[in-house]
Amino acid sequence: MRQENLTQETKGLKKKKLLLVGHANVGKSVIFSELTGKYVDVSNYPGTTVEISRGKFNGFELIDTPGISGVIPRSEDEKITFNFLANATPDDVLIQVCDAKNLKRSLLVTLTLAEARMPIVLDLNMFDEAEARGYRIDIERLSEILGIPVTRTVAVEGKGIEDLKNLIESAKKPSLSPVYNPLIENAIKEISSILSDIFGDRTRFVAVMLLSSNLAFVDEFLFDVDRAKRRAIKDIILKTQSQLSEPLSLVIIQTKSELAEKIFNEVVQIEKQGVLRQFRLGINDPAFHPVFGYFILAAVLFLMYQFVGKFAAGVVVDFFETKIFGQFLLPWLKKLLEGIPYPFFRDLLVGEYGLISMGLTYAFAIVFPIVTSFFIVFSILEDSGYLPRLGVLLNSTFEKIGLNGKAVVPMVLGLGCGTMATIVTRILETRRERIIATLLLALGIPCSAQLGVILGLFSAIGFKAFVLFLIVVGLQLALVGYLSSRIIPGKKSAFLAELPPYRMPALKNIYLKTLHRTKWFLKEAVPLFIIGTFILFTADKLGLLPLFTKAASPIVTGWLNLPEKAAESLVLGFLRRDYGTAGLFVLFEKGMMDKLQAFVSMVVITLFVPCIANFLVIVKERGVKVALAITLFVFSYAFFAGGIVNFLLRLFNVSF
Amino acid sequence: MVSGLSDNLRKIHRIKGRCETQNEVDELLEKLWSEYEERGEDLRPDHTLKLDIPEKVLKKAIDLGYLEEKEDTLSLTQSGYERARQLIRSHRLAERLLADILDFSEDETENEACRYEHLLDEYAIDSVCSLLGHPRTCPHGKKIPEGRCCTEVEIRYRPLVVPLTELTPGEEAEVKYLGTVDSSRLSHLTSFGFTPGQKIYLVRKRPAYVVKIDETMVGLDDEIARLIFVKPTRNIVAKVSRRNRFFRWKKSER
Repeated sequence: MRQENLTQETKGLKKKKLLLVGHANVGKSVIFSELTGKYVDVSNYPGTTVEISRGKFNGFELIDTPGISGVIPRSEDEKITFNFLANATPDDVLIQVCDAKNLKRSLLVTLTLAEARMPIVLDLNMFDEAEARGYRIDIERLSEILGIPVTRTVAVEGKGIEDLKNLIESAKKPSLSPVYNPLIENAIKEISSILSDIFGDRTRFVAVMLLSSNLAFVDEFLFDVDRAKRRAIKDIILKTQSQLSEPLSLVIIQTKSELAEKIFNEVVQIEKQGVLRQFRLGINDPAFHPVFGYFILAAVLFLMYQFVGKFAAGVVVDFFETKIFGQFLLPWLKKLLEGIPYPFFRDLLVGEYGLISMGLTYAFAIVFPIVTSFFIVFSILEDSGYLPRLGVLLNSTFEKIGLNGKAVVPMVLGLGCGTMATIVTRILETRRERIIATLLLALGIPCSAQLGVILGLFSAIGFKAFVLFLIVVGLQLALVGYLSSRIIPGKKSAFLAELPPYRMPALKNIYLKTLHRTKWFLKEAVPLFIIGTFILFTADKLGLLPLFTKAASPIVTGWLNLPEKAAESLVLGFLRRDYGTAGLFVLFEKGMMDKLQAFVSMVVITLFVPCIANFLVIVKERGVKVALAITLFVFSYAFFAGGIVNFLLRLFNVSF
Repeated sequence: MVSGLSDNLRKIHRIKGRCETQNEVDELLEKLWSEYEERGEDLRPDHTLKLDIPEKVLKKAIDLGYLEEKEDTLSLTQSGYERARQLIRSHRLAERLLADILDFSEDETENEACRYEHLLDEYAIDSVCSLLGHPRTCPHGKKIPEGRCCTEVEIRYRPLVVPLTELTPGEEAEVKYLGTVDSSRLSHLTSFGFTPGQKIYLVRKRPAYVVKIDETMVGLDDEIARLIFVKPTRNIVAKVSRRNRFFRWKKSER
């Protein structure tokens, strides 16, 4: 997202705001849902929220912000939050949500927020986890020291939410604010005199942030401020730094953390036992063991294959497609429509390319059950806390393709939805990483709907073929990732990520999340299914379809050895890859492709162009040029790789 | 850059100022060692001593358990012997360090070394000894008494402050300083609790580093781990097995 959009988003609002801020993965989104009754995605890993959500609460505009990891913004999502803070108005109120068991580092953020001179309520969330670990926190004393109301919640269980609601009215400006060494205080004063007419009460906050960042950040953050002023600020920073023997940012952070530590020691008592038990659990965690970790990963994939592939794509799809639609719904509809004297209209609904017989059947009978079951599995994975640990396990692998373990989150999310995942690439720190991740998502990460259909197809071909398929696609990702990390300029960023504790996924959240995502799927995908079917229908009626399949046959039949009709599915793939996959699935079901052809077609459609929605998001996040380049590359690469796979399989006489 | 270190240096200088008037007992023990050495004998714990020293010093040495008075004879105790040996060892290693590594002049070396000997504990001295490659003699050609680090060749000592990469999984350490000036990286590290003085616990090193800070688990890679300088809570030495290839860290009693 560009800087200009950001400020528009943050500045142009009149209503008084209530901002939820805090570290990543402390439960801001849960509290947002509780306060507004509005659903937002909640998961057990940092970076679930990359866009702000807005809702209403008691005459406030409640805003859920992406989590922050320090006193200056690091990635695109953090910039959003810092911009909100810097541009807040005097009526706005902050709720700092913090993880009660990590109070020390939360206080570091509190002290930073205190500099923004805004009314704050401090909420110690996950209080149950802190108590279970033997932390005794004196809330009244903490409130006294900071001069702001402090409360505690267990948001996922709805505990303490009422108290929090009641406290918002009594939010106060903190009475405590860190005092730095005289040199820095002087610099703050000088910068403040330049910026006070822009940022008002927020000036000290902005000044400290600028002093603890680098010069490039000054230009970036104050892009709409007069150049002479920026120059002056940079001079102040340079001058102050030259008088200090240690980095400015470190001196500032140390002042804050010493104060935070003092407060922490004053209000917290730790009972030793709990801590020790935690240590042991940590060491023996097999999820990031260099050997067992892969067994666990394999087990997770296998269970997913069983549930989504065997059960949903096999049993449930069979039930919907052949029983409900095939034996009951469609014959009944055909009978009903027989009365209509226009065959054109009849065909449009229930003909070979009918909106109902093809479009809705694909959407509801094939893709819908598969997607729903996938979302269930995926929600459990998200909430368990397993994904960030996968990042540790795969970090070194990802480093070879120019990414790091942090990229596991958007990549795995891509298995849910590439569009969503492309937005989540914001959590990555450099532009280069964001481009590589976007490219790989567009190239070879099948989204849930597509993956579900693929799993369904492979449960018919065989597990061995599925493993080979994973290897083939994995190799393509590795190859393209490796090459692009060589070609795309820029630096790799270092891996540093929080690993939240394992948590038992709550049934309610899994239900809500699955429901929400399924709804979203229906809203977004079904219209495209209808449009795609309509295009095929029109082309068929105009007699263009045979012409097209003939034109495509050198590639489809010649290069890939697929039946001519597969070209139709590839057309659908332009709209949505899952739709195209479903088309191929049906071809295989009808016996028009053998197992080997089905394998090749799956490789091609998996590597095929991103769907329209994903393409639009790439344009928005990365710009038109990058989006077109990625699409063009992915399109040609899909056919190229498919052909090679076809050739090799036949050369070595592989059969499934 | 190496923030936090300057603090320690300052501390050292403060203590040094006090050192000159301190501990005549230590001086006495050292003198004893040197006298015997000059006569070509080895000082032994049971040697009967004839000393001409002030009553006050004598009483203090006896109180500390270094000397023993039985009837009319005065003798050195085992702990007195060890103290003397350790002081001489510290002094001469300090001389080596100052002369060889820090290029001090002979006079300066002598002055400084007599301060350092009181300052450094056994573990620190063993580290210096390892650093210098277990020298046998001081710059004046006198013999340096061997420490554990010299006799047990298979034991390796680490420097006092090491990057996180040198820890073994299961070790606890205290963050000393962060080796970076990149402000956004500093901000990121401190937000997880990597601040000087913070206790951390290394969970594992492979496939990536996993560190526990209070209740926060953090995953990080080699690049970041190399920037975090820590002081291990326990003094740990590496034992090299006979094949000289694999390390086993062993806790030393301190």
